[in-house]
Amino acid sequence: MTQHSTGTSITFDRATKTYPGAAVPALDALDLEVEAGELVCLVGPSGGGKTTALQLVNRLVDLTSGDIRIGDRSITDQSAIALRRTIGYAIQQSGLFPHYTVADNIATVPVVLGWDKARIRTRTAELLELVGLSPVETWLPRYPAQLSGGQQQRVGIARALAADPPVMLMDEPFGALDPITRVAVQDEFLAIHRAVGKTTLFVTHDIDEAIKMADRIAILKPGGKLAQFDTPANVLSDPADDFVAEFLGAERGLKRLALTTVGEIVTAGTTGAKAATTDGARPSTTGWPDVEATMTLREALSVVSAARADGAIVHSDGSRLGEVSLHDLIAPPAAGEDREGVRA
Amino acid sequence: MAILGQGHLNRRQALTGLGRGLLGLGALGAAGASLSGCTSSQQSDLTGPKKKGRRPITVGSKGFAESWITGELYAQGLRNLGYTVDLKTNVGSSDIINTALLSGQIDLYPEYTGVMLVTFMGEDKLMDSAQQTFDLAQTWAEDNQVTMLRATPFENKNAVAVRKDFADKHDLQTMSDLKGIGAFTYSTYPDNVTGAQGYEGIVDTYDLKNMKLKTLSIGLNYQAIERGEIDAADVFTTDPQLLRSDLVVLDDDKKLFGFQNVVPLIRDDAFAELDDDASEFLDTLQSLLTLDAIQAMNEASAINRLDPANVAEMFLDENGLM
Amino acid sequence: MSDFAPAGDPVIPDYGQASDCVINNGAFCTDWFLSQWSTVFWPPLVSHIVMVAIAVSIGFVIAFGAGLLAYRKKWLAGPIGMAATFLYTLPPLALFQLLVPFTGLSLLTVEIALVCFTLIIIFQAVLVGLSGVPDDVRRAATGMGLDRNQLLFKVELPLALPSIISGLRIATVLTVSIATIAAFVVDDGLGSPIIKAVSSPFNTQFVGAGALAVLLAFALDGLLVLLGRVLTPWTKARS
Repeated sequence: MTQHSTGTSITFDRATKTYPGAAVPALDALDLEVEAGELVCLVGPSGGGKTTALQLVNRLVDLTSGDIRIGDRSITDQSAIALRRTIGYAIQQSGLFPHYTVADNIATVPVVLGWDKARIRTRTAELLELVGLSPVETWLPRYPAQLSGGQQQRVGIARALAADPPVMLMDEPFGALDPITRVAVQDEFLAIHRAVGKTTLFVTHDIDEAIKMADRIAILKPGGKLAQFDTPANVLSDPADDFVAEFLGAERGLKRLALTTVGEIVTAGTTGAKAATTDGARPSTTGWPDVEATMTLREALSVVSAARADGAIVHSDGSRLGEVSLHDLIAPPAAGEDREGVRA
Repeated sequence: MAILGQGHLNRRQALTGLGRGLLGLGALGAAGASLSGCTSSQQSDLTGPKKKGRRPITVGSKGFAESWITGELYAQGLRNLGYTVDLKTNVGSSDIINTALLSGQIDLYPEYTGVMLVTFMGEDKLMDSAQQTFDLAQTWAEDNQVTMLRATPFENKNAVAVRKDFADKHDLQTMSDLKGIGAFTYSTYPDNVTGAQGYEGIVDTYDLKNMKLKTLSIGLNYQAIERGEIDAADVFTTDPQLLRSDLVVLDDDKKLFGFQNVVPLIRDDAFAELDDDASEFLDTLQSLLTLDAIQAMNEASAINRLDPANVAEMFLDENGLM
Repeated sequence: MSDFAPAGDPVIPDYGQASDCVINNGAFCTDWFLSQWSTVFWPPLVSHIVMVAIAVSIGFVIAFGAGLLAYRKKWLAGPIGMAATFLYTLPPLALFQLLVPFTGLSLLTVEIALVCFTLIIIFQAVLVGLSGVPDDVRRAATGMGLDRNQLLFKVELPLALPSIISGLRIATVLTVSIATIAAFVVDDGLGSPIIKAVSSPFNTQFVGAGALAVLLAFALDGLLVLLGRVLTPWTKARS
């Protein structure tokens, strides 16, 4: 196993789960292909079967019918125990073992796999660095109770990555974090994801989280049926049905703005300044607030609205990149459409 | 407060205090359970060649210090001869320990001849002598496949004691001498007022209408008589206080209190397991247990508070039995 | 026939002179306590410790096994718990009484009774400890590929330890106390000097033996607390 093994696809093939005594399936003939290295968010209301779908993959729940394949191999080809050791698993509240130190938590799977001590030590240190807990010596001997929620979640991710599994399953991993910590951990996880390229199936009930994190979103509706499976931009701009539209909510348009950063539209050349030169009537930028190029359009819009201005001046690393007008912000051309290219 | 409670330490009939009653019931239950197996049938399989320590001997004792000491004397002496001995102290009252003996839970214990007559045989006739008492007890033993070994010189029985000055003044030697000396006060414990050997029995047998009763809690007698609060007291003949107090024990000339020498009772089948050295030891030991000796040992236990095992060990040592 | 005459004069040993405290039955005579320590107190203390150790060890093995069984087969928890509770509610003396006809006046009788009283405490401690393992921890462990035994020994049992150890502490202290009643059956343990001293009231003996029983309970409890600290370092760790 190399340190950054490339991901492997996950294929749901008419995967169905009906719990004993239940009248309707929790998951109904799900067909879904998660490509190698892709991050797919499973979203949907309670009862949509998103957690069931996730737990079918590592056989915490057994399929009633259909199949799931990791790469070319059916999950039923090997024992559940062996299968699970090849899949990273992170859950809400981190699920860290309270009686294990950070080091021992991360080493859990390597230990049962029989890695030698030196290799485990090296790997543990490397992972702590990766999730931003350094210097590692400070963190290794601590118990989970000595960590903040965000730190616990980082250790949870490190633990899931420990044996370098090609596939990661994450079950509302950030669900219990406060909003500020949550954003920070999301950003870090995205960076890690881009760096290590694990195929990731990520369950969340938070549509904003899904929009932010996912390459593609799978929306499940009650009865365990797949309502739509597409990129965040397409889901937002083109909901497949009323259920999806309603699930995305009245702020669907605003959510879409969150897919694009100010920097992207400034560099795309649709700045207020350029528009002014072509029109010959340059509008005044007096009173326009400053925004960072890394802000999403939604955030920039909020700043502009708060300043009661018609646009904003865009900065990056302290230098002025240009301006964006209110119109640019609310009607960006092809916002987020080239998102696929952004993906690592 | 000296000596408080000492008297009752020595009561032959164990005052089944605290928990001993319970154990007793347990022992009886056990007896019931194993008696159905029948003791006589057991004897047939005990007729092999005698070998020391072939089977452990279980020695028992009742619930008071004199019995604990005697039990320790038996047990330690036999152990010294090479037998494996299990000592069960504090087994319970006469009824209970006797049931334990007959049912095989214990093999050997010290018993008082008079107690055997009254408790095991229901005999209420007054006996003339220690020998007569012994012989009658012997018949019970034979009927029950029990061997009775040599009796001790000492007896532990009820007696009436008076202060020496009181005895001198009225020229008292026997209990009959108490008649006609004028009114005097006698004390006993509340449970011992009625009954043939109680206050009323004494008054009847010796015609002592001049003897006034004062009941005192057990053990307070010695204090009361030493202070002159009473003139005569109910005592036991082996009470160690008799060694220290200036008291005279009056002769029971009408033999109201019977005879209470101690004999080792051992079930026949257990006796058959023993070599001659065991009965020789027991006979020698028994013959050394004089009133002085047992009073001294009772004193060591009840007043010096030495452990009965220690008391017995020192006695065996000093008398060349170890 | 029996010869009632002494075979000769017995030698009467010098048993020494008791102190005023002993003669007057003072509340606690240190001189006597110290001089009798090796005969009156030390052997019963040792046999008491042995009795308790045997009872708690056997009780632990049985109750621990039953606890695991009930944890794996939930339907067994009710019946086992009821049986163990029944044994626990029996008065100790009554239990001795019931056992004597079968097992005699023996250490076996005592140990059976003592074990009976530890069962429900340890059983419940094991069951509560195992059931108290957070679901997310168990799910994470399973999801990472720990098998049933690894889950039990690496995760569930360690996390149940604080509960199991408190159960052991209660069972031990209780057994130290109940074992004093064992003296009704065997002449062993600290109950033996207590019973003897009560029937011939001698304060130093029952105060001494009683105090030793209390101290023993404290000492064993303390040892288990220490053991718990060593075995569960994470419970002390807080940010």
